[in-house]
Amino acid sequence: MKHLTLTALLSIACVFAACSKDSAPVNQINPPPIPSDDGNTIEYKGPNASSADVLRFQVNVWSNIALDDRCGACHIEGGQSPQFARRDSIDEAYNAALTLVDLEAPSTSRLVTKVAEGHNCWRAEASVCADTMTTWLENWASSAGVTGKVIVLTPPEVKQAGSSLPFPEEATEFERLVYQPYLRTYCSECHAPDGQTPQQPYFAASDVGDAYEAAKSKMNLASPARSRLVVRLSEESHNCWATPPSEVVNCAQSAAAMQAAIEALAGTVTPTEIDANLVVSNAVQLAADGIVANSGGRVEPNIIAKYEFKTGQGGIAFDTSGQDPALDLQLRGDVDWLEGGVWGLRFTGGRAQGTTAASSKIADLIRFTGEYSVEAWVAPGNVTQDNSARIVSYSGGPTARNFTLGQTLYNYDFYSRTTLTDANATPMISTPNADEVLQATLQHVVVTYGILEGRKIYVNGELIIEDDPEALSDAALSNWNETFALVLGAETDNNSEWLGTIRFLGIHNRALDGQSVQANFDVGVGEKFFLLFRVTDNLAEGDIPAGTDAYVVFEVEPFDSYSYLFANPFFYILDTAGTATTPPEPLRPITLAGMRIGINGQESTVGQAFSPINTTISADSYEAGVGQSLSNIGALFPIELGKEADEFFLTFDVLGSRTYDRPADPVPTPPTPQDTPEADRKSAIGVKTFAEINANFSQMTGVHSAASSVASTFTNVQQQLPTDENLEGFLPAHHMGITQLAVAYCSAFVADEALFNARIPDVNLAAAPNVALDANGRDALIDYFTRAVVLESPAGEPLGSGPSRNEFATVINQLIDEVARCDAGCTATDTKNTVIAACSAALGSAAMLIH
Amino acid sequence: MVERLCMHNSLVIPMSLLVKWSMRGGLLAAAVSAAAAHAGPLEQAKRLHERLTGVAPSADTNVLDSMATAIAAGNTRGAAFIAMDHDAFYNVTLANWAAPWTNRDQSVFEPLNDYIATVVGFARDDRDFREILSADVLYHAPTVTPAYQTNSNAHYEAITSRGLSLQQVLEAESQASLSGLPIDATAGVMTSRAAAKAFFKAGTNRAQLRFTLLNHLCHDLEQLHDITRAPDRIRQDVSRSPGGDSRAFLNGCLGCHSGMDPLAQAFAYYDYIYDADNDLDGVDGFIDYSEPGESDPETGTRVKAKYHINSATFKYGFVTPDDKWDNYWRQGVNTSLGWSDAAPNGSGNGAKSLGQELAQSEAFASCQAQKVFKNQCFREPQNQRDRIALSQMISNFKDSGYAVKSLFADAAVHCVTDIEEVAP
Repeated sequence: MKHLTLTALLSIACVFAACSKDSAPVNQINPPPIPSDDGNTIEYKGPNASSADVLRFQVNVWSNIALDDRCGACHIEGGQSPQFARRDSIDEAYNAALTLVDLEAPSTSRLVTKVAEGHNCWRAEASVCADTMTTWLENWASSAGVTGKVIVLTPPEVKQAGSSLPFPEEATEFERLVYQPYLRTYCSECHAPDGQTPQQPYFAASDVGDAYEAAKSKMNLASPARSRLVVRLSEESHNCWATPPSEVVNCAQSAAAMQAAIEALAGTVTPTEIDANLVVSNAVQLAADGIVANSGGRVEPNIIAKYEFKTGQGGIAFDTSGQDPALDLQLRGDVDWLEGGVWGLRFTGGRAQGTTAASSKIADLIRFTGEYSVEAWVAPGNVTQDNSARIVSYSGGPTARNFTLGQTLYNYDFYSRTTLTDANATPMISTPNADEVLQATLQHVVVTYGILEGRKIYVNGELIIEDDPEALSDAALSNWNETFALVLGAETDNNSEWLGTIRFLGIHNRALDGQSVQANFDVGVGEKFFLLFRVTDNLAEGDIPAGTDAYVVFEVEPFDSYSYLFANPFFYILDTAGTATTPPEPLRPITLAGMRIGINGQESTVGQAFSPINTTISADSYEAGVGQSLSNIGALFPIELGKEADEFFLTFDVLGSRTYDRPADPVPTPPTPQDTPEADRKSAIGVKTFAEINANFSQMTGVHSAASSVASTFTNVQQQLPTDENLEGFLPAHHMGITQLAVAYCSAFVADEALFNARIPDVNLAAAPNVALDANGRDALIDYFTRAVVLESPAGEPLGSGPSRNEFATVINQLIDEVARCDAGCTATDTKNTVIAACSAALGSAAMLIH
Repeated sequence: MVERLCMHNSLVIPMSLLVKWSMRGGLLAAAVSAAAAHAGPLEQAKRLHERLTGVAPSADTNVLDSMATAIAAGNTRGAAFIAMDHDAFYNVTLANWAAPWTNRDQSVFEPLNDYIATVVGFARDDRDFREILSADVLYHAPTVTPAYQTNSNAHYEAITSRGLSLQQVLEAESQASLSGLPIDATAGVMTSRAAAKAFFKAGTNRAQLRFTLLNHLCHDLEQLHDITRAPDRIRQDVSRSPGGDSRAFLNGCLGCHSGMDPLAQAFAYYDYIYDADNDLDGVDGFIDYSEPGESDPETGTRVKAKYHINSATFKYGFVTPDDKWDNYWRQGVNTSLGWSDAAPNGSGNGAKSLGQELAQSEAFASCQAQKVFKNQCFREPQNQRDRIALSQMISNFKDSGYAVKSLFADAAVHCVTDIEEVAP
């Protein structure tokens, strides 16, 4: 068997450390808390442990497994071999256990795999026993300073990529089954270039060929229910329709109809083998061929409740901390397991809650140390939920709690009850508003409390906020209430619900330091695999050593319920010696370009982040035992059939001596423009806008627009003036603004005697109206404004669509009659008022406004 | 209508009375509008003038007659150029045409700034408008105090408050000499102070690309959405699983970011520095550029820290190392934007070459024509006659060396003519 020791290529640190029997513990983390005296503990009465490591085994593992209802039922002195649970000699139990454990990879230990098979499992689920056993072994490994492991890559079975359901070349069936009945009918108002509000993708374009190209990435022939066209209707209620004869919009029916249409389209397709012209790798599957890449490294020696949500089904989320009693959580209401082989719970209004009896261990164990941490991987569903929507809470109701991790918009809130807070653990601390550290995406959040350091909130490994050390006072956790319950996703009364996903939760009875938080963040969450894509067959003889195989290796993990993450690909040659430490010889230059991921016989249409790769594998770049990195990024690819069934392969535009002449992307033809319906056409005339009105008034009166009196009025009213030429948008408020500005200009015009007299010399503003606006003066006044506003041809025809000068003058004359109607008491002030009135009415009229 | 009193110099006139009387003029206009048909040269001249400048020809000049004479001689386009000599074409029409491009709200009430002034100057001088996104130039008024300042818009506000003619006072100047940017770092209006304040302030600099595409290629990101492009350059700050659902990323976010992020990388060395505590709007801020040899303390390179923010959101995302940009939209559905084969031809470093890439596209020329058409005709093209006119505008725009006045002349002539043709 060929194998490989990975070091630098692993995202997690792979530090090899032997598990020495007699070495002292290498870290300073305290041993696990003493098990509570609840009848589940066992007292060792044999000879003392002969070494520090034996003692670590005794404390972390033996004290848990030697109980009568666990391994101690059989694997004891005089009982069944191996006797790793014997009670007479911890040294002999230790020696027996060493043959059953791998502290560099605890999850692969025989002790774990045996209980995973259901062997004498003391919990409801075998997987829970396995996870609990893993936790105990990890605690042993962690206390011994083993922080990494060797990952051995083994070649997968050589398989050719299978057949696929390619889209038909012609759009005929698509047009008949999907396009005409649904897409063109219900989606063309937006998803067409000639739609009212054009919105890509144009899968409802008038050109069915273009629509077909755009729709391909939205249809999944292998799994029609996962088609985006279906999901948008079924889950997001996007633009659903009423199915006749009903007139009621029904998303479920719309989605079912769309799914049936895509299934019908898939039914017209004959599965075909992969295009023979493609340069492809061999195929692999995640469940069958993936090599577990999780390498440990988490810091959790003091974990007292732990939820990885691995079971993926049932009504209980199990506590796998190994700390008795197990604090299992009952799922209540709208809370679901994540799909697609991803571990986690999705909360949509429900909660997961433990019993108060089991929850009491949290209060007991945390009061014992006086410090704690709550660590979670969460993906908030949105950034709009507030009022400390409960993510994790240890509380007795809406106003009483020991601790709570909550969400308010973009902030994480942390309530921690002490003798200095009230029963509701207020005042709380929050991440700063301006930082918006909470995002609706997967995040690692840790809140810690210690008497000496107070409260801290870490997000994605970074300390965001902490109590001011100077302001800390003596506080204690002695007032914690052990009758409260641990609850996730809502308050214990089912209010204050939180929408989102929890992928991991751990409660520690120590305050994790920053380094430990960072370490746990770096490890990540969920399971990871290496996938080895064999590419040997594409290389020329002599490119790599005879008898070896070349692979492109990816780190792959189920990213969420809908996608796989492919990351950090590297080129690797598995040598015959199995040591992987000798440079392959020979290694001729191998060109590798245009790498794409294929799923179930077809290249994925989306997510091809590795297609721009264009590199050369060479002896100079290849590092023995490490390979040659191809990229340091990751990309998502949609889940189609699920982790167990999806089959992956790689394609290349160039690999070694083989090339694929990739056809250019289809370019849609420009849509044929459509005339605007007569009823929707805009008027060919419009109103002048704010700055135009201002400029007109300035030109008509001769008052400079920068004059202080008019400039200030313009500044005040400009946003009340029309901003758009559209006649239909003209409002009375616009006219009020126009009139205000007109009055300002006319007042400035009248106030500037020199300007006024130069333009209308026949009106004496110093005289009363009966003199100033006698027949001569009135004619001069009306004539000036009429000419300023109404243009006429030499023949006296009005220019444009406005009134004639005669009509305009008549109206202005009537206005003067009305305003200047006064007795002998009228003065020059009335003259000015009358002139301003006539001026304002003329300037602000539609004759000015319309163009 | 709210009854208000308007008081000016002891004048007390009920506002409602003025409104009533000015609306009476409006009724007159409506009553006679249907009678307008087949206007002569004078009326066409008036309409052309009003469309282009927003004001009627002054009765104090012979502009109307000159334009009518030109129209009567069959030179309607020439008449349009006569109208464009009016100050209002620059101070009103062009300034308000460009103002919405200089702020995120697309408000037309944006004070005059170096971006607007530069657009006006390009039009006045018949400069190749494609250089608006790449040239080492800004327009200012050397005679106006205060002079151009890198941390204030006071210079341009002084031009406005004094009511100066932009046509008269604006002069072109090397942007590098005004702003202190290296010549290679200047990119026309994209690196103007106004654009920096609007689009480099805070955020991730993607706004600069988005609004440039919106304002100068007439495509918002929704129209450019294409999920088939390679997402390898999408930065770490973009969630791949918004709300825990990666389908939203694969079918939504990816469609824009896959093309946008490799283009917006061109702005990796730019930032807008302001006092976020005391000057939230950045009124006193200034553009900042990482010159060769400089190093951002957070990135360790010339790349600004904003390009590496929220790196834990998706640690497998792209980490920006420099300002090399690539145009992924040259393939796929966005080929339709008509990218040029001329340099930089799809790839380059920095904002200047990106500006050239964008401005040399067919979409850029078409967009300028569409904007002017809307400005002059008050509507989008709505029939074949309009589309032919638009096509001719683009053609003439190119033949004129991309002079903006060519577009305004053609659009105004078409719309005035179009009214004539459709009138009863």
